Amino acid sequence: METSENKFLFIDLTNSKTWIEEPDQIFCRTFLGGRGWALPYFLKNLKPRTDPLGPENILAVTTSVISGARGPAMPRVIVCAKSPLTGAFGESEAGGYWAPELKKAGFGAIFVLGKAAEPVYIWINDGQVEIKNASHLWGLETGETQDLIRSELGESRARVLQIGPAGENGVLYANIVNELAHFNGRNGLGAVMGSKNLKAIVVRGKKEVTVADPEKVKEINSWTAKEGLQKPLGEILHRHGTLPLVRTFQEMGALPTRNWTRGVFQGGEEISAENLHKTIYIEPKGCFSCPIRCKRRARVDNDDFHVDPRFGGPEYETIGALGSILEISDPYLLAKANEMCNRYAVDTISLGMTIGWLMEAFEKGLVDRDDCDGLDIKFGNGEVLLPLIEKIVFKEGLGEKMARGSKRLARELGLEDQGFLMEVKGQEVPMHDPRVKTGVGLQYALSDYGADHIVAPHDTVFATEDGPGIKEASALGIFHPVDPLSLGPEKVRLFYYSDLFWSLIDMLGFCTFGFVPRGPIPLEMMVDLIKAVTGWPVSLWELFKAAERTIHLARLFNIREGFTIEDDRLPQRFFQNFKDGPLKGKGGIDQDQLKAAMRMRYIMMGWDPDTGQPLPERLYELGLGEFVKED
Amino acid sequence: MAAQKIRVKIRDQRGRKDSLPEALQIPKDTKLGDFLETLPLPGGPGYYTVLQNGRMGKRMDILREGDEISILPLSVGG
Repeated sequence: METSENKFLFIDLTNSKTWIEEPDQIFCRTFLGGRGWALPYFLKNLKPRTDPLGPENILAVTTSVISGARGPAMPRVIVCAKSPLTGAFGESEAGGYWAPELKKAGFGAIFVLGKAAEPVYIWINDGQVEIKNASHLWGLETGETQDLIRSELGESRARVLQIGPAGENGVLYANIVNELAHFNGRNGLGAVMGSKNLKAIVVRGKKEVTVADPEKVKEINSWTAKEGLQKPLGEILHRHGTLPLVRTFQEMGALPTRNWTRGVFQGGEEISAENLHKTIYIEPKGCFSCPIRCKRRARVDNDDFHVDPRFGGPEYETIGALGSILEISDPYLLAKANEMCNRYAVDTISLGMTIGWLMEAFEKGLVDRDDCDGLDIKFGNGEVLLPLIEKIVFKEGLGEKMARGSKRLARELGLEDQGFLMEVKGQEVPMHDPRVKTGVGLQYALSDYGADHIVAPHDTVFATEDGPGIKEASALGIFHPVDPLSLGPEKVRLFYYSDLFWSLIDMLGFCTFGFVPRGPIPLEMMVDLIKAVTGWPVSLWELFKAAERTIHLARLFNIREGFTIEDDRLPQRFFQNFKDGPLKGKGGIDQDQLKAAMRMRYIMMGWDPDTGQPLPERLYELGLGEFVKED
Repeated sequence: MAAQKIRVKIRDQRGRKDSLPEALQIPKDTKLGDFLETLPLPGGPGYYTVLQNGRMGKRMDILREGDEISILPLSVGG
């Protein structure tokens, strides 16, 4: 079925030009959406070694061939650019309502080029495109910006994708946000948007998108709402979001604590799902057309803090990065810190981890109060958290250096080689310890956009015969359990397939929480959903091939930017045993085993095991011959 | 002769209202995996993180008198 909503809108902000290109059906089916649409364009049009914050960088804001249909767990907007944090290919997905709205307005993707002479926002109203002045919005927090834009456009239902002060000020881990609570986090793509003087992209679309078999889509949505939510993973996501991980990791002894020096946090009970629901959370909220409704919202109104639920609520990653990593357990303070980060649109993982690194440096006597603007930056000192967020976002004092992330901060302080930097490719690691799930470590090391926790389902779901990975995701072809601690060939194979699967989910704008083994919807139903929306007789094999193409293209992009296999690595601390709790004296990943696993993974991918570079034969096999470099 | 029984403690940390009993009498020499199968866990034991005396439990391990079994949500990530 040929649909017209996949048109690509190009906007050159330097000269205020806009034009439309309509990709043909073969391109759409071959690359599906998201990074599949962005990467071929980047490789052809973005010069190697481009300054990520220069006007030559390209910001691709994309949907997919299925976005906008009223199915479950498919709301995501995928933003791609060269990342200012990592210098590698950058990508980030966010839920909410913006991507379906763009499709309803008639576009599949927007490619933003150049840089506006003054702050602007883009207004897309049912296919009409306008570049509007945003000087009056520059410097405002996200809530005020959304209110003002809706008011001046007279469109209370306009969907606003925007940056906050962090993106405007070039914080290298600034986010992009839609509906104030759905974030394109990690990778600093908000800073790219800010570097273009682009405050927001606002869309309103009133036309329903074309769907080949709407009844089938409706049937799958009804199944998710009724039966899917009864399944354990669907039910727990609906009831508690991601927060149960706090207690699980704490009990296991693997809750990232005190900049990863400990696995058990004394204040763990205070930041547990149960206590956070008692103290700060109100009813959850969801995304476009999704019945799972897993998003937490926080409301606080006490003598110390007022927290507005419009800005969402802290989820597990934030509770870990601002809580246990810093040894701060006050739920009200954490709710306020999360709200501030969201008002300013800054990534809570990188922010928390950068503070965590500084706290360890302070405790070790490597920096003192004079280096830290007079602040007592000790673990557990909650009094410094809110002032540090302000300093970072507005680049005041030490915040100027902290706004560049932990790796650059350490380098600028001459402390890069102290062995406690927790980053991969310059991006701070999220709150999952690879010492208890080694596949996550493999993916941290290999991910084209730096350490990330949502590039594959985690080892634990494949640990037993009766777990969701083996029982419910058999279409992946993994029929036997795989030990979460192994790094053998079976683990490498599992994560090769898992990487393909999650890449597919990302490029289609699906949410990982929707599908097995992370959520309730079976793979077979996912394929049916894609068929029902597009009308194409796709198979899982074809879809996985599309995903594999993007992994290779991202690898080619990064090689152009100077990345080598030396960058596929883990922080030193993960090679050391846990020092406390139930896992004391255990857990350190064997470096040789990791190296062997990485080498095997390169070979499985069809990459040269000595250089990690995709082999021409593999690129031809994937239909990517045009990207083979002639020597 | 009646089979010998042992008592195991259960820490249900799934955050559900229909929580499991705090302790159960079970036959001696019961394996952890077999014990878990007897519990009313939606989806089955594979959907949960199971700790035995605070450490990751192995399904083939024999349970002992006074063992503490913790049932937590699965560490699925994200």
